[in-house]
Amino acid sequence: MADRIPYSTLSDARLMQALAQQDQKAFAVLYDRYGKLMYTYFHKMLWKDKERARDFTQDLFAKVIRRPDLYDPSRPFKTWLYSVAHNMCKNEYAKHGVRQIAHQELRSTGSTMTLPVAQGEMDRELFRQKLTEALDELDEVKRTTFELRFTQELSILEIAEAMECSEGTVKSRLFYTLKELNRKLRMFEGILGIIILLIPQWP
Amino acid sequence: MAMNTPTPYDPEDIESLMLHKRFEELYPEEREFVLRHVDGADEYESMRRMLHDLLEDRDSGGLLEPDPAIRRNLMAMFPSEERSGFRIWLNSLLLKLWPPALIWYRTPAFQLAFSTAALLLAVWVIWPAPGAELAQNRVTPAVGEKEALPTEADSLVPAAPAEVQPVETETDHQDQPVHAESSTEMEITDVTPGAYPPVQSDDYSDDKIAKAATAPNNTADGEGLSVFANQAEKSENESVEAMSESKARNRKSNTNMIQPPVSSSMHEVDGLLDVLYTAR
Repeated sequence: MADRIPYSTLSDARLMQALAQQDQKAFAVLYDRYGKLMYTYFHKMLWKDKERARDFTQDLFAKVIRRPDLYDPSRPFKTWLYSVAHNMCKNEYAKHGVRQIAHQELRSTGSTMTLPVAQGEMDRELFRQKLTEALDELDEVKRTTFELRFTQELSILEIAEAMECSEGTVKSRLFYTLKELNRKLRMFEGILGIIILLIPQWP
Repeated sequence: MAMNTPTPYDPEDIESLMLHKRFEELYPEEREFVLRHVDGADEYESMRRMLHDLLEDRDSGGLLEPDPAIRRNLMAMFPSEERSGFRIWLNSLLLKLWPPALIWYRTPAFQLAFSTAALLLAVWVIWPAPGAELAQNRVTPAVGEKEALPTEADSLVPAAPAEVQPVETETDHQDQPVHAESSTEMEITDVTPGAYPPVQSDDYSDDKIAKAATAPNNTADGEGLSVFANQAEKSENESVEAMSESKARNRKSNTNMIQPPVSSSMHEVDGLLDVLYTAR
């Protein structure tokens, strides 16, 4: 009966059961559901390094194939997948001295950054760049919480499960992260305003 | 009624409030809650604007497309259909042989006993039996034995045809003494019956040969080496012819049957004949 149901309509837990029986089609559906999400997550968390994000995505799903028994069916698959990915990133941070490399890279790129100033409000691209810079200056826990909430669109409960902490802790982390980011971006807005005043002939 | 209507935001969640309400729109209890966390209306509005920018940026940015090679590599990790069937069959066989429900074979005592029994069985199978070793010793030639056993290769090689010496005249060996010892010391031990004509022992007896060797060539009664040599020549010619015929017959028959082992005694016979020729 279950075989006649299209794989795409099956739940993650059911697909994982099929994957435990080495069902290739079940894995294909799971990868189609979460492949992009995971790749984007790794790309953002690992200093926008595409090669590293590629390797980590492959390693993550290889773990899913090799050890489907590690998945607890009582938990949502999505949060389990994120928790595995989160631990992989933590290991990578520990391996590479975490933030120093990212800071160096960002400072080097920041020095050559051009300022496409728009009249009246902050340009979207510029906002994105400054946000990325501000996020990279955050500590790992806050940054992960922020990425899971605002990039991966996980709920508070899912983030709590993925990061193995309480919902209250997630809420608190999110709020203070937003506050810190706001402070940094407001500073940037002030600097940007001064630049605009100083260079009125900017196209 | 108003209490039961679901709100699109969580009043206890400042993020939710920021997304859905401006500062002026907050209820007094919500405002009180918000002001416990932010400094004032300005910070609230600033954070609210940033939050909207974040969501807008996320929606516009979208998700990154991973490399298709990742998917190919991951799919290659799965075994092919044929192998999977074989593996399932093997797994089911192993499960029948070693059911996971049973745990008695996991006990160290059983494992030790089983390993010991397997080791003993292997030793019993591999170790050679003492009787077999004795039988092998019986066949194996002794260390001091000079003559090696004929091998299969030796037996299959046809015997070299005996070289028939040309019949020499009497005068060739008139002055040469005959060494009778060489003919007396050799023994014909391995002559196939019928292969060679019986040697006339009377004609080649040691006494006669020795006597003939010591006798003068020119005697009064005409007896001596020349007479004996004539007789010997006659019988030799007969025996050489017979031998050549028999060897030719044997050679012909060797094409169909395995040649019996050629021992050194056969060569001794040839040597003896050579000596007799020389004696002539």
